[in-house]
Amino acid sequence: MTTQAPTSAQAPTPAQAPSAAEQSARQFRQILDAQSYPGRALSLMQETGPLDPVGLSPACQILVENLVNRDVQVAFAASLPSAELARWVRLTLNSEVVAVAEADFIVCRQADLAHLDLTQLGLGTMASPELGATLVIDYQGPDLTAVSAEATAGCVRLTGPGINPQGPVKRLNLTEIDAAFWHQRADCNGSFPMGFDIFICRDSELIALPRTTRIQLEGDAACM
Amino acid sequence: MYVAVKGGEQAIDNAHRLLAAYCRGDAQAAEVSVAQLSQQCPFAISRIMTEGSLYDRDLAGLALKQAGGDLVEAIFLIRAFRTTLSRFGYSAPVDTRAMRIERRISAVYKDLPGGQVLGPTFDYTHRLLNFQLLENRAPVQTDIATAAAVDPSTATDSLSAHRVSDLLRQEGLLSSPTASAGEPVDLSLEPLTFPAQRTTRLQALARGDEGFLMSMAYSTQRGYARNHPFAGEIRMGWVEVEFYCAEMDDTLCLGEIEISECDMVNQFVGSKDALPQFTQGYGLSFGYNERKIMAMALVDRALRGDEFNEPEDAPAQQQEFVLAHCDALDASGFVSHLKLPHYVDFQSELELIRSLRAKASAQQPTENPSDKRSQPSVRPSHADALEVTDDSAR
Amino acid sequence: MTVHAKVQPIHYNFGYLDETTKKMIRRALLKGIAIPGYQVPFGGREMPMPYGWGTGGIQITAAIIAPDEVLKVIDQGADDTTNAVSIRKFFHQVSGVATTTETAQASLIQTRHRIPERPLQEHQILVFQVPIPEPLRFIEPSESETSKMHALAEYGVMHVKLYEDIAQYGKIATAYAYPVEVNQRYIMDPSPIPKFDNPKLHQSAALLLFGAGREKRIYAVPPYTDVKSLEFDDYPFEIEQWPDNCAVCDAGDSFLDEIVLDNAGRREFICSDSDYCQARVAQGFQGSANRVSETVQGEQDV
Repeated sequence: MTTQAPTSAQAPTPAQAPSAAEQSARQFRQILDAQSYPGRALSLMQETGPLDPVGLSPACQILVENLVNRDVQVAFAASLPSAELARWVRLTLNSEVVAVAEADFIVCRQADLAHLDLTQLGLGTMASPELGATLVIDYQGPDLTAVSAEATAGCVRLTGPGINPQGPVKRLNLTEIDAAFWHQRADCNGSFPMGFDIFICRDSELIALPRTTRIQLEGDAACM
Repeated sequence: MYVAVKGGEQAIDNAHRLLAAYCRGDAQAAEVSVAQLSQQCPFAISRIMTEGSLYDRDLAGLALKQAGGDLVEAIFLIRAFRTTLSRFGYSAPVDTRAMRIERRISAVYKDLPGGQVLGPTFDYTHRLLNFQLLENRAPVQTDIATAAAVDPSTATDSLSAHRVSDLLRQEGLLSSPTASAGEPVDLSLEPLTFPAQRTTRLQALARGDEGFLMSMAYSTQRGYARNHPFAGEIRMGWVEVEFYCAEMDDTLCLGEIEISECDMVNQFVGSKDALPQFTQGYGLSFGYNERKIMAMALVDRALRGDEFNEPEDAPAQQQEFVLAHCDALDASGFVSHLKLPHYVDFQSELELIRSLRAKASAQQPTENPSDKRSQPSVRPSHADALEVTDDSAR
Repeated sequence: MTVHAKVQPIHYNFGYLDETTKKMIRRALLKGIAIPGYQVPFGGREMPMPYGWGTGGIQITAAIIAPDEVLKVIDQGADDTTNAVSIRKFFHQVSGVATTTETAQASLIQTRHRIPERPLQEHQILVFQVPIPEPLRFIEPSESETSKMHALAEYGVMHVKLYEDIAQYGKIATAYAYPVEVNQRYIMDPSPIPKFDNPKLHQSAALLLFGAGREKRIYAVPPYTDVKSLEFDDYPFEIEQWPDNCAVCDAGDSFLDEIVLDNAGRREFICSDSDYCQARVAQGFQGSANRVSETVQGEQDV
């Protein structure tokens, strides 16, 4: 036996829509790949019809729906539509909205980052670093991977686990995020393994920046 | 030369068929029904429900039949099934004071309100094989008050009697339980971490293997920790399960279950700041599971050593030792996993042992010629092998 | 009146686990990748296989398996060992995915005790079954103590143990589950793979996930991550060696199983990785056993 084909009894025929569980499985695979290869853009799409509008980009909404349930809590930054989101969190996700300091997942737009007090984010403990929060940035701006060799100002260079040291230099165009944010992130994540992890969602694309990813601002010698 | 043995899948299918035949036995004997097992093996059913952590007699009977009488296998089936069930919440704490009593005894008072109700028990049977059971049993007398066990719809009064622990607390002689920090952790959803609170420990003990807990409890009675226990009260009977439904803003009774409860009353402690008091050990199970609840209560008390500043040097007092090893599925799974192929790791060990022996005998003044074969010569390196094989390939 | 048992059959979710459990495992995996080598506690469930038989690996696979997966399951490096057959069949039944024995074709590989010989590519995932996740467990039985050691990166006891081996035996006496340091921080048990396989963990293009069901721990090594086997400067890490190449395919760079052929103790060494061996044979490589039997054939013909 080399390869055994999927059984028709269980696998959906092309005409059949995938079940919710099958769709989630595909979506989570993208999320897992994003976390494994930081800085790479993975697409997150909804195959089973349109998403209920809650004021988040598709990738952001799909990410939160895939990871949040009653076992975790979520916070939203001020610029996001609070009543709509609170209802969505309660009814669809079966979770609750809490303050930033108590949340496992914090969702914001990049404009909120200037006012977000990163010291409030849960960083876990040395014994339980997995309790560190996940910051989900719903990003509005130019394509994150559109980096040309000439115009690298405002771009970031990424190194660390998941990034091929033998491959081309990994750069992201994150000009809409202030340099100050990366410095604050470096402060928070300075006591590894404690720290928080980031997902950046733009339209239907997802990029992960776990706490292990070192960020260097273009033109800046320091690596964060 | 060696040809790899194929057909693992076929072998497994055949093994399943052989197992089914083994569990059926002689076809001349009537096949046992799930209903028969659920009804006529009440103690096995109680243990399966308790350690399987799921109250359902019929499912326990099905598991018992499928497992061919192997209780740990049956418990495994029930736990695995439980995993697939969706949860919608937690019941209100069960009130055992309102229990519809089938059995209630106390070793600490000769008599007490509500009396000593023996109920159905092996306690005073003579362990003489009853060969009359080779035929069917004589018809069961249903006029005895404790026949509530047979027909739970029969309304009987509860004892309306305080529990012994309530009586002792009235006098201030029994310590009240120390409040736990925060909501209890649900051990069926969260991993066990140390140090574990009492609410977590009790869950682990309730699901724990009866044999292991019995031996641990026995050790506390023989000097491995000293608790001076007394059986304050043992109750067995029916309690209501209530559930608060948010949508209806009402508390609903979901039905009755049969449970067993044990309060052990232990050595009194005191310090310069606190008056001497008795201390409690607690046991609880589904169904009728007396050996288990008594053992559980003794071990619960042993694990409370830190609350009473007791030196903790006995095995039953070490929560990591007791709780990490009390689950029958963890233990039987890992012990039995040794049956799985381990030949790759064994190969590594062979190579290590051979090289260590080679090293040791190379240091000996006279070499044993028979050891030569155990000295591995270095086989061609990867690069060499490539060259060789490139030449020898077609 | 006949008493009947009242039991309702149930229908299983895609991948067997319910969505709540999957989410819990998925969150744990993401944090595990963010903290390479750190053991994330997770609310492991009872699976239809016993604890100790791969339930950790099975739960990870069940949580991440996707409809278009191509799944390979191996035990001791081979696809046809009984437990690998059993697990592969389970996933085929509860998810309907395609399965394969070819490492190159697989998107998801669940393994017990070996890493495939063929280097893994990006976007492949290797899920390891782990019996004892704690590398310090046999030095320090207490979980509270080992947890502190990891928190503070206080790994002195491990270095002492390795040093004592050298003092007593002249070498480090660990053949499998050989401890490694991950991303210059955590000491990790790579599961009972032979130390021969340790170098494959370092800077792999694939994601490596580790599941311990009974102990309820998940850990991960992201792709392109440093994984270094513990050693001393004057006693460097060494892998196993054999006196011969594979008798079937002549491979000189793979882990070999020792097969006892007869009661006189005659032995043959064969690749543990059945797919690797078969692929080499298909490419025309021949081991000594093949050549010997051909010679014998020739002589008989004469």
